[in-house]
Amino acid sequence: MDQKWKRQVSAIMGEEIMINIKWNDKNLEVPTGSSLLDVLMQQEIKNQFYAVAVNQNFISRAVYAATILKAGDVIDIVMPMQGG
Amino acid sequence: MWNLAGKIVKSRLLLGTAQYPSLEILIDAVHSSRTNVITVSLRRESIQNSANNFFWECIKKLNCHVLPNTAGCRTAREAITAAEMAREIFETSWIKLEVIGDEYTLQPDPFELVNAAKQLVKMGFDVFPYCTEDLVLCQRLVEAGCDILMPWAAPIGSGKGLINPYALETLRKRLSDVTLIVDAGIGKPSHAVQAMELGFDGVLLNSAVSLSIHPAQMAAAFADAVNAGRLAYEAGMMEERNFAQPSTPLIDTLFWRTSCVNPSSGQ
Repeated sequence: MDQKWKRQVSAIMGEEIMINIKWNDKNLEVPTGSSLLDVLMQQEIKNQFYAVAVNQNFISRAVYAATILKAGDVIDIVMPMQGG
Repeated sequence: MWNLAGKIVKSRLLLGTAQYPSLEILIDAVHSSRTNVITVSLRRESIQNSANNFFWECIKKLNCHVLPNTAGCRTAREAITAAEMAREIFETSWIKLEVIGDEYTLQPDPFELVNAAKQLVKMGFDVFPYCTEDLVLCQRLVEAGCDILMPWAAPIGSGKGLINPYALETLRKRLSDVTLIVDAGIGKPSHAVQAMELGFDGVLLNSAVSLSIHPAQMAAAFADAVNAGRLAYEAGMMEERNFAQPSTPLIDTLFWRTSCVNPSSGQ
């Protein structure tokens, strides 16, 4: 049963299937089938200077919407900081 | 003026931005140092926190070239991911490649470093690898495509200066076409002078300025030190001697006699 079908079934049943991901080393529950862009918007990101890696792989800004998160995914978001 | 990875810069001092008492002091130090290149890093942070945006907004106004680092990375894979993230945020192909092999000495893992350098060069990055003074490692980095090398003087933050000047001198002689920048371990302006007198193209330092009592003043001292060392190198320094040679000719000075002739100099 693919994720989109699962969501439709859950919607009819009035429940949403959630998955657990790691968001900057913290546990986060998001709806099944969420894209990276969905979660970034849900987290109300105001700062535009950041970059994202999913499971230690760099994800370019251009494909945030097309990157669908799976249970157990590890998302790291980094910003500029002081460095030597 | 000199060419650093395709950009013409005036200063041969590159400055880190970490561990300053405040952002204001950092900005003053950058101005005093007259540097054209500053290093920055990336960190996981709550990006709802606008304070971090404020740091980047201030840094951009300094009008310096930004050299992001891959601090905290321990494998080639981590370093490559960090480099790609840095390129997206800072919009530069410059990357200071750090792949650490030991938590105590913070020395690079040479194998992962070469591996990461090879891949990053192929991906179009201008790689500034932080390495040791090991000649063979440096040669492998050059073979991997690096035009710039950044060997340490001493462990990061130790302030010990050039603990192996002979190896650094060897690097300069054997890698004459490579841009060499001493990075890490500098503590005093005299260390920077020594590095530049050896013929190194630049010096990158952070703690020596940020942990001093007056960072802006120390930054100015380092600016002068790097300049002095470079001028000395270009002027051609005298050779060291194992015997004394009077600087004032002694012939026919008061009380000079023929029997006073110095056997080695003939004066």
